Amino acid sequence: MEQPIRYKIRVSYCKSSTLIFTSHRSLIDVLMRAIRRTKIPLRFTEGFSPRPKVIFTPPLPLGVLGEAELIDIETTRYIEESDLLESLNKALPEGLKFTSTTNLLKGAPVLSKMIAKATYVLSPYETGSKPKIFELIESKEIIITKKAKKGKPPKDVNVRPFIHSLIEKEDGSIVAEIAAGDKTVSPLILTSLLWPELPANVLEHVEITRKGFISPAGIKLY
Amino acid sequence: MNREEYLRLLTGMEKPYQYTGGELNCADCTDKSAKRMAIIFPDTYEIGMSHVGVRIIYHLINARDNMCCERAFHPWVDLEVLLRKRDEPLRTLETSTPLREIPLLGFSLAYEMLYANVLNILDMSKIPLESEDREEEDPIIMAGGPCAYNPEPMAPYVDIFLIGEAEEVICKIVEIANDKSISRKERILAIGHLDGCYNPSDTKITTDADTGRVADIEFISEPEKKAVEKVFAKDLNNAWFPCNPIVPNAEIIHDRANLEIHRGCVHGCRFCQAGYIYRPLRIRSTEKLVEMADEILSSTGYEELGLVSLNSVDHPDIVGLSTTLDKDLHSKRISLGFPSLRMDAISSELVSVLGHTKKNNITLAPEAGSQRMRDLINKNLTEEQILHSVKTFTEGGWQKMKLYFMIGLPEETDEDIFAIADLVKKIVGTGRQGKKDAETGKLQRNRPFKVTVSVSSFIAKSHTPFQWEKMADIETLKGRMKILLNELSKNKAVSIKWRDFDLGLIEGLLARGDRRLAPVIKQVWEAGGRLESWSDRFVFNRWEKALANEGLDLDEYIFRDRDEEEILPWEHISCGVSTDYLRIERKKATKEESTKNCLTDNCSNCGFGTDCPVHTLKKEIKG
Repeated sequence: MEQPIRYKIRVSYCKSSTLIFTSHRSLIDVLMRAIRRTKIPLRFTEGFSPRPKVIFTPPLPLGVLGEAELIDIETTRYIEESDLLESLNKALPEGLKFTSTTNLLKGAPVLSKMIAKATYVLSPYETGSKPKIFELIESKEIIITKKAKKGKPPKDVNVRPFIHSLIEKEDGSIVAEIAAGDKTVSPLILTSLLWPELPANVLEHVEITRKGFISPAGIKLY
Repeated sequence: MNREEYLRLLTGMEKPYQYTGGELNCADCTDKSAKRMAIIFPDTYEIGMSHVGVRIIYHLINARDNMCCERAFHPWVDLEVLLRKRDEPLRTLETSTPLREIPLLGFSLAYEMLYANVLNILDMSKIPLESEDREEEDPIIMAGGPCAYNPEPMAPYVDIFLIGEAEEVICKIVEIANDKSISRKERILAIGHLDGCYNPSDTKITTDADTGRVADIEFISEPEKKAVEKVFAKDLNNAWFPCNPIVPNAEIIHDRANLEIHRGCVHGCRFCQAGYIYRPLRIRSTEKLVEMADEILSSTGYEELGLVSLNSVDHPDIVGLSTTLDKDLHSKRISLGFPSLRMDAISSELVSVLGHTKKNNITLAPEAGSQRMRDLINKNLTEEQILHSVKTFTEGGWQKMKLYFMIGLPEETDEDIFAIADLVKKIVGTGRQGKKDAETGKLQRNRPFKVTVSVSSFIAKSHTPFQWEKMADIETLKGRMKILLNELSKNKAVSIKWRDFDLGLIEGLLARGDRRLAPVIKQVWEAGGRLESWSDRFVFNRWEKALANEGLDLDEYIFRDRDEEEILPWEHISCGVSTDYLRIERKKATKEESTKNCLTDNCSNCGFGTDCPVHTLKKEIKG
């Protein structure tokens, strides 16, 4: 089948409530099914088992909320932005909501080139000990032992360079800007660094939200 | 603990989504004034949500204005440990309500290895295990599904068994179970009088003092009643089917939109319980199915539609139906799946439709290798037909095939096992030949072609012509498997898989067990038995020990031929097929005589009489 001309749409969505328990891999299915229900004419990859052409922002760890996650979708015809949002939000599982759509112009940079940092908010459910912000900011090195893939020994990584800023708000929550992409520190690990007395499952005690992404030029994409 | 707190608790779990609900198309169960029930599939979410029956009941009840049906599943080990550690009860997915606060709990007994899970769920919910210990505020415990046809092993733990297709009576049951103007005992008694309902506490089972076997069965409040007759939807075309099914937020076993195209089976393979208990065959029309398919796909966004039934090729219009659906779906990049397609007698038209969706696994179920044995089990399939199917497929481009065989069948000898190996070799040979070269007209040779041979042991089930038969012991099964491995393991085109034979023995034990097995199940659960359908969690020894503690053994239940005059533990449960018919079929088996498909051939008088829907269906096909 011949592939018609490509149009690209950038869609922003939030992930909250029960949907935070859906892994990135499964979320792709959930999103694709939501898009299929709208009958948007998706553009597919060629080959035996065609897949829709879509690009996602980096995975959210299980249990973390996302307020402005992004997907780029390729379609085979131009779609009016206003129609799109309405039809996308028609039937969705709890915790998924599409918030905005933009038709991308030809030559617009790909999603991965638009993302340098991510902003997270870490909010403890109960007031506990003071978070170790200064200790972290002052350290030259923060060494984390990362689990490696099967058969390989764990690796020590210095995650200090990935932490760009930590700001404590009046309500006790912390706004953290950390690197996005492959070289980063998990917000879960950051949380246990800030509150070392917390048990292994920090998510039972701290709500973690990814507010959104920041471009290399410092522009907030949320 | 409210829902938010419960969700927070779940953050540490490996797969929390299986406890949270909130999926697309799940029901809003927050209406406190609604009549409530919970449907429970006592295995994990990914298995339970793949079960079509559970989905039918769930959506059927929730479609009612004043009724709510929530869901629960057996938790994975991590949540069970956490709940027990924090002394928290198991909760529903929809509203995180503890199960014991819901007036009616319906368990789906889809296979025997779920029994201990039911006890575990009751225990985690702080509901007394035994019906007689339950009090006024406790929920009514109901159980249905294929295993309910032999209810006795679970009878002390279940208040009401539902025999047959729940959609026929479930709403009445929900009404009564929620009626707080009468006592719990009265509610159970009233439900027990509904069609298809079996109330063990209203049944007197007398056992023989010497043998311990059933001597007499009596319905206390209905002394005239001889048996509980199953309920079933007479008109499937107008029976309820969910066209807005739940779409899970994570992958489940059968992750696709399902469309039930027909129910029941006309083949009458003598070992197959499903072939008898789901009789008679009822179909949905192509017109209706096409309409339903559209609705289901629009409401779910699924990329695969599965045509569900015991055997898809039995639908009288399967070619028309799949051609029509495929035309529409292909352009939308939705694949059409035939999850239960037995390719035993396949038409080339269907093969061409299937050609679009090459990921379909092609399965062939000869079940036995020798013609003698295939006639004995009434497979109605010759070697020629099997090889013809293989040829049709390889010509259609398939290079892989799955073959199902059964060992340990009645009257089986080593010769029959060698025959399985021979048949597999012939299938491989045929598969390798492939198609004729267009130019030279010669057959291609040595094409890549692989088969997976899947072997399981014969399990004698209630309500089948083999319900009186003994099963092969473990030594025999192992010996026969060895023969097969010797014959086939060197063949590079063949890979062989087999099911745990010990597990088969315990399934057989429970499938034809009586009330004496109830304490055995309980002991197995107490010793840690749960989630035993996951083969790495199954411990044979636990069952052996529990049997010994009760002074019982496998010989009594599965390693002896039962006398046809013996009162069977499921004598009081009728699936509509008469016991006389089963006796005739058994006799025919010993003579290696076959009984033909009752849709294309004569009625075999299995017990549904003159209003059997198959008669009407035949007229429609002819007209």
